[in-house]
Amino acid sequence: MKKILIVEDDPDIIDILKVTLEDKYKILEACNGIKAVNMVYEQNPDLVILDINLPEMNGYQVCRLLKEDKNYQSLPVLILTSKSQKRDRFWGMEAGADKYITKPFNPEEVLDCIEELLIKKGKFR
Amino acid sequence: MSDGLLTKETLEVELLKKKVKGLSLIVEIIKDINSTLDLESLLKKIIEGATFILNSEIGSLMLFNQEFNCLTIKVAKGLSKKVIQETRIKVGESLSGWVFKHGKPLLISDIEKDSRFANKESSEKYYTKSFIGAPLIVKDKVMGVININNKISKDVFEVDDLWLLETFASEVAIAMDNSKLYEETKKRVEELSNMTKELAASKLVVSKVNLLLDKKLYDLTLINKINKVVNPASRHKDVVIAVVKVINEIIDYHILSFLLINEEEEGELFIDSPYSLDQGYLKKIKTQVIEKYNNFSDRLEFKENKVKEVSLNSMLVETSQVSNAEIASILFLPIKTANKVVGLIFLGQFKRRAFSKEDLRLLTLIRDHLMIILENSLLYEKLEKLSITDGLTKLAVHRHFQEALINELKNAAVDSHLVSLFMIDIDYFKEYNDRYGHPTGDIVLREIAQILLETTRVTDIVARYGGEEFGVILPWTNKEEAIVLGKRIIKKVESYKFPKEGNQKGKRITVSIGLATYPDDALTNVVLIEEADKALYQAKKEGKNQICFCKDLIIEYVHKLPIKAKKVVVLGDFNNWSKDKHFLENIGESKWRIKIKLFPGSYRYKFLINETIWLSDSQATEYIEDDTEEKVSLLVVK
Repeated sequence: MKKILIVEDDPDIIDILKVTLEDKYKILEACNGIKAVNMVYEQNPDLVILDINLPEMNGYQVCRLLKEDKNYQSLPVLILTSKSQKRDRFWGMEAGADKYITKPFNPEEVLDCIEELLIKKGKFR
Repeated sequence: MSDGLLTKETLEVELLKKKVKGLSLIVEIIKDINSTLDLESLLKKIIEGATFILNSEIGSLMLFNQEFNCLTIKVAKGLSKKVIQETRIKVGESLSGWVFKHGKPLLISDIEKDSRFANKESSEKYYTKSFIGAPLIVKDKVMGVININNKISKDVFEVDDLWLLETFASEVAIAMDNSKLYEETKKRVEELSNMTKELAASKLVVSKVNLLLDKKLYDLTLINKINKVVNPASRHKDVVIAVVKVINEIIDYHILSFLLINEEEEGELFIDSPYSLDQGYLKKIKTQVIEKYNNFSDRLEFKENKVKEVSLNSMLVETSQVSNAEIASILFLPIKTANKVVGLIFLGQFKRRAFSKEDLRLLTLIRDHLMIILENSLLYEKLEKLSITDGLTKLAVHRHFQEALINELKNAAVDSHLVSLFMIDIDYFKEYNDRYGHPTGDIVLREIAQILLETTRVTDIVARYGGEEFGVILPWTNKEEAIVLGKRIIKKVESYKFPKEGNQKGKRITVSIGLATYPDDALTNVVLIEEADKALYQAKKEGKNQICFCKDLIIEYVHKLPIKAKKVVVLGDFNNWSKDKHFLENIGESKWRIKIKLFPGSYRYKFLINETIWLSDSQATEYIEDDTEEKVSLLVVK
């Protein structure tokens, strides 16, 4: 079962994602940026769903850190955020995110995106 | 109370009372001690308590000192400071050393009578007659010793005293341990809280620095994005497109407009929008942008009709046409180079309050960077223009003309199309110049240049070749078309009224044109110019104000020759000596069964078919006039 790390400080969002994804994936959780990075190092998830407004270290920084790291470059990062402005999306994609979805989101859409990203990742291996 | 009354019971009662008294004392003292956590005051209280319980004046508390590997006095009563500081007792040695080593209490009623310690320790002997000591044991480990010397009453210590001290010591040891723990914990807590404070402070700083760095990184990324597509040699339009692309990625807009005004006070208005905008709407935006620009500029009011519109459509996603949506929010910044307002960036949104302060900050950042690269690119364009443009006539210079010709011939070779070339010279220009002076001559040059530009097509390249000589490259043009164009030029110049022309008797300003066409007349740029020059020379020679061209049409005309002709005069130049010779010799043999002799002339060739002479037209005219016989056919090749 593939592992998905959800980095999010809003329990409601975590619940929604869990309900959507639990059947297909093993869910890992982190509530702030530093924990998220450590979790990636320790648990080696197959995909990260990343919020932007996080305590300690924001999502852009987490994403940049992972994407600059040779070992985690191919780890798909899906940014899921309420920051819907153009410049935020620009910055997310500049940080190396593979997908940028804004809240409120459609859980089905997130699920589709995840599947697409995992297939893409599998191809490049 | 007499001795006789002291029965065994009363003695025991007394003893018990004493014990109870001692114990209750201990309880009181221990209570006090337990409430003391500070080690220093705790030790003081212990020794006070012990001497009080045992009714003694001298007492000391010794602890094992790791550093000196012996027992030292921590706190004492009735001893001089010197003794306190200097006393060092090794484990096993002397009284307290014995207590420490064995972990057992020790009672010596008279030290003189004790074989173990008598006469052994002078300092202790000095103070001590009767001694009582108890170990301080915490968790089965001896930490130190409480020593009590000599009762005030000079009585010797008894077993009961020993028991009291032992009890006291065991209670005290726990309190001491607690206190030690407490002290250590307190120290740790203090250290930790300091560390926490430092950490919190540095975390705050780090997060602030982080945010700042993030912002800087964002800004740099933006500028880098622009720089990636723009270089110092980029055209200003490319710069504008690159910048619009970046703005498009970070700011939402419905209308983006870029006004740029050049040194000739001509403007370009770049407009980008996700919607397709109709003409009326574009005009509305234009008015608005120019009005904003005029507010910034200290130059004269800028007029709309001097602005050319350029539609960018970099993000045309909506197909709907906009013709009446009101722009509710605007964001605009002037563009300055060298302290002059040379343009304006204008962003519009149909929503109210659509732009934020951050939008303004980012746009300012981009604008500032834009000003630098724009200045560069405008300067570059100006230099380039200067280097390819003749200052007087604003036509291309000789060098650029040559390059353009090579280029055009290359293209023509690839697509196999024709390129015609004019060499144009102003007739009687030298005389005109001598008569009216060079400034007037310059006006003529400029006006003829203007006529050439107006008469030719946009794709044609008009150049000033030399003093009064012009060159025109006509791509995709055959001879017939070129002749039409050339005649039009001649007519225009002829009918144009140049300054002071009326004064010059009979001689109007006219031009002569020489024409050559690739690939019929020549295959290289050098030969093509040579051929056109020859044609020009011919036009001059034949009376000016006309167009002449290079003749490769000889073949066609020779075929039309009447067979009975005995003498034929052929006018014209022959490009290709060997080709023409070969052809004429062949056709002479096959068609007329005559031998043809060819004589190369200075710029044209004479051909002799038996008695037939091929001459230039003026010579031919003379020839015809001289020889009225009908044997002469005049073949004029023009």
